[in-house]
Amino acid sequence: MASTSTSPLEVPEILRMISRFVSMKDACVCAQVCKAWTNAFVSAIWHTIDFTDHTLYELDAKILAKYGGHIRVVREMGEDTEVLVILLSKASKLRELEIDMGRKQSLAHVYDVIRRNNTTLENIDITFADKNSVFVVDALFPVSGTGATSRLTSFCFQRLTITREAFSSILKHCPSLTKLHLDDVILPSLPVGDDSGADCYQHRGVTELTAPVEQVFRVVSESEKVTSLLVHFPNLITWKFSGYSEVSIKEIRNEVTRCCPLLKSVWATTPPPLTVKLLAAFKGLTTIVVLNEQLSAEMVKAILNHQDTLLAACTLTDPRFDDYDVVPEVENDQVEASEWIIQAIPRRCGQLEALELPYYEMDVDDIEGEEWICHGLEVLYIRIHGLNTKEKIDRAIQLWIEGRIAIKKTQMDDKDDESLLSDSQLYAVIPKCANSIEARVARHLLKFRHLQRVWFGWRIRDLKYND
Amino acid sequence: MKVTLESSDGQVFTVDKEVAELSVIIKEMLVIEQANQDHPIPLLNVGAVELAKVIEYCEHHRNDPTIDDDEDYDSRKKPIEMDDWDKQFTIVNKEMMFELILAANSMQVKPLLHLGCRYAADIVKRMSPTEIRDLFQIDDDFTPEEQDKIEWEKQWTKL
Repeated sequence: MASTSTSPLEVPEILRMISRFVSMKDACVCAQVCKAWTNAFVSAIWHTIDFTDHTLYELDAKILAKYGGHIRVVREMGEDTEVLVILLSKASKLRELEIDMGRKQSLAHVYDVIRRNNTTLENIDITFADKNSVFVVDALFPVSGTGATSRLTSFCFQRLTITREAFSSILKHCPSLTKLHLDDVILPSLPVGDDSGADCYQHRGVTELTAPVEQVFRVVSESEKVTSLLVHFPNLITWKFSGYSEVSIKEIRNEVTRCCPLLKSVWATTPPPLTVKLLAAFKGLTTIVVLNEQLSAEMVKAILNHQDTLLAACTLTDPRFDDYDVVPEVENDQVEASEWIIQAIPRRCGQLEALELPYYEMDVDDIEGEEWICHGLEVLYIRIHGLNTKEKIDRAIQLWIEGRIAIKKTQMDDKDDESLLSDSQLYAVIPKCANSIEARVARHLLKFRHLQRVWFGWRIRDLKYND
Repeated sequence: MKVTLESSDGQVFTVDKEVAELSVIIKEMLVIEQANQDHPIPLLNVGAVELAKVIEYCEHHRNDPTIDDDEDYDSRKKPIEMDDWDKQFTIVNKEMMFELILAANSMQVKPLLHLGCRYAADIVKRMSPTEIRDLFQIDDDFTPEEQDKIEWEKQWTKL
């Protein structure tokens, strides 16, 4: 045994590492153990200030200033007093800042907070109280001549009036920006053809835009054609859109073709009839994400317009669905009528790598009915009729994993064999007479050599971690 | 390619290079000593028992993607994946685990260090400051003037 004279708890960097794994409450307790522990745990305690949880009003300015240097993330800063707390803390290394402004807010202090942190901020999410707010965009940029540049990568702003010049200025001074989210922002349009001037800065780094359709294509009057916001983002890949207004599909198609040739991924939270129409405005999409209740026959048809290029077909889901520790019930109105129609997606989209429809249920008879041509499938989230308990799901996955190992063994000499498994190969692993739902599902999964992540109702199983 | 490692008590282990390279320290040493590979790499702070355990861990995790170890990274938001194997691996006594934490720290095997720190964090869960001091034999070195800690602590525990 090595010397036991040192305890890892006497090593400051180990204590600091431990501090990252304790809850806030436990961190507060640990900080009171002794001075060394205070030093180690204080940054974990002050790392994130979420004003939905804390007030901190009563804290003495001296204490705020003493620990403020540890603050990295501020959420839900709204009231004047909260802004003041952050100002008094002298925090100057913030990475994330979320502001939801009240009506009587003094904006000057908010801009002071931003200004003090404009060399470290990576994420800003700011919602203004009313559209007449004036945004001092200069607060976002480090003072020129100091050599510092903005590190902002993700910027969200809502409810604001801004000039096109100021908007261009934001883009110009935030070179690291990759994600932009704007909603309810009044932004004067440019007349058609005027997209080369100073008011029309093209940002080559932004790849993801979240904005309602009507925000991007603001229609002032029917006769007046305007340049869309897309003109600012020549390298845009993903557009997450919502909205209600009818914008001419032709106009969207023209603008996308003209301005954003790389745009291949859409997240649609528009109402279903509008989504169906909008999907036709794009060509050769690789990723389509729609709301989970939207997979009607029309929607599937609209998705299949992209069948030759589609890599991922997904429904937007509760991000915590993989944490469920019971198998949730399928709500009937979601499955009705769409059960068989969604089969068309794996049967027709040959390139498909991810099918993530956790709110839909398939029937194993349908699955076996016609071949899925997406041989490169890697991710599958779906429910299967009858596979409705944790035990059954786990058994099916276990059979699949065991089958996979058995197949690997028989193919040792022939590693590069990419051809489909024949039925006889499959039956050699899981005999034909094994006719339980689990065996049938496992047999289907074995057809996809690259499949590695599955979910059938509870817990995502990833072969990377379970193999 | 194989590399040999020597524990502080003189035992020599032969492992695949890619397994040994989960240790940042060894990886760096291998770059420097590329030409000179005929003597084992000495690990002055790691005993044979711990080194065997560290190697066992590295063997299992040889194909894992490297973790991004950022000081400010708030791991409470995104806990690192811990699989069944890892859970089995941590069923050892506290003394052994603490030795492993020291070994992982001195060899800079980041995922094992995280695993160990998580284990340690679980021990102090829901304890009081006094209980922690008693368990680990730590002295309370606060002077009465340093009671401002209590003040902000009161704020935080209102959660």
